[in-house]
Amino acid sequence: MGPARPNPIARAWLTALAERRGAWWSYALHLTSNEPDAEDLVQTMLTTMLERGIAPDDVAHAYPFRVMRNVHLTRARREHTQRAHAPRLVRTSDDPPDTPDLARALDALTDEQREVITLKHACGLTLEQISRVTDTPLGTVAGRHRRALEALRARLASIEEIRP
Amino acid sequence: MNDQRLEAMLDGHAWPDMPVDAHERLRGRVAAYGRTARSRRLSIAAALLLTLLIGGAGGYILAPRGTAPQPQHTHSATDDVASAPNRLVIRASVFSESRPTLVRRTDPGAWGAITTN
Repeated sequence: MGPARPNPIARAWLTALAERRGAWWSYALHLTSNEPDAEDLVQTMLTTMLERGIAPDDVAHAYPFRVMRNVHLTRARREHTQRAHAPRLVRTSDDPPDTPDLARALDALTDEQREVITLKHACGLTLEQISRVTDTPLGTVAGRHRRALEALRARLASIEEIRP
Repeated sequence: MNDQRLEAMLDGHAWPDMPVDAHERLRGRVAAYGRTARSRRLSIAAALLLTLLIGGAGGYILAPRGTAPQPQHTHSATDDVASAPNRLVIRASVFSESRPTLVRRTDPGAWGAITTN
């Protein structure tokens, strides 16, 4: 007799993990600032879903992000930890040649601005979904996104200016 | 640089992807969770079934006829029913005999008469 197969809900989450791992990872890394904690956060999110018997199709696309955020905030409050100021978005060798300075510009954003940018452009959420994930009014989210774009544009322009 | 170009840059940015080893570990844990949950459900079901079987016996010990010590008892109607072959017969109850108490084991002769002044 071969090894037992995972139950249907676990199999569905395995499929979701393969499809959405990049988005979950980007947001978990944004929240935790380091890979071990990010992995733990994604695992906690998955375990929470499995324990509640929730399948990926039962919840909105944005729900796992909300769970990760809540888990992270609960842990942060409990442990009274300060978030590290190390760069959160580490550039990789796979960066396209036209974005060499983007990672540095992203690191210069405020936490709230970077969260909106990460959720929108790395995780593919709409501003309305981000509003639900972060439990923030839609107008506030839109304002953070607009200011983040302005800050990025200014930062990138200044980098261009000082480039020899 | 306008917003459209900047947003296109952000969409096309190489956002950090989950490392392969982390992905494999998470895959293993999710798969194991599914198996563990099913195994846990089976264990609970088995424990419930066992509880029902024991509880259904009503505290009596069931033993095949002839394998349990024959208790000293008077003839009763159940003896006739139980004499049929290959039947399980209730031979004794774990509550059928109460253990003697300390009071019963006390020798009354050791006590003197209660006297008054």
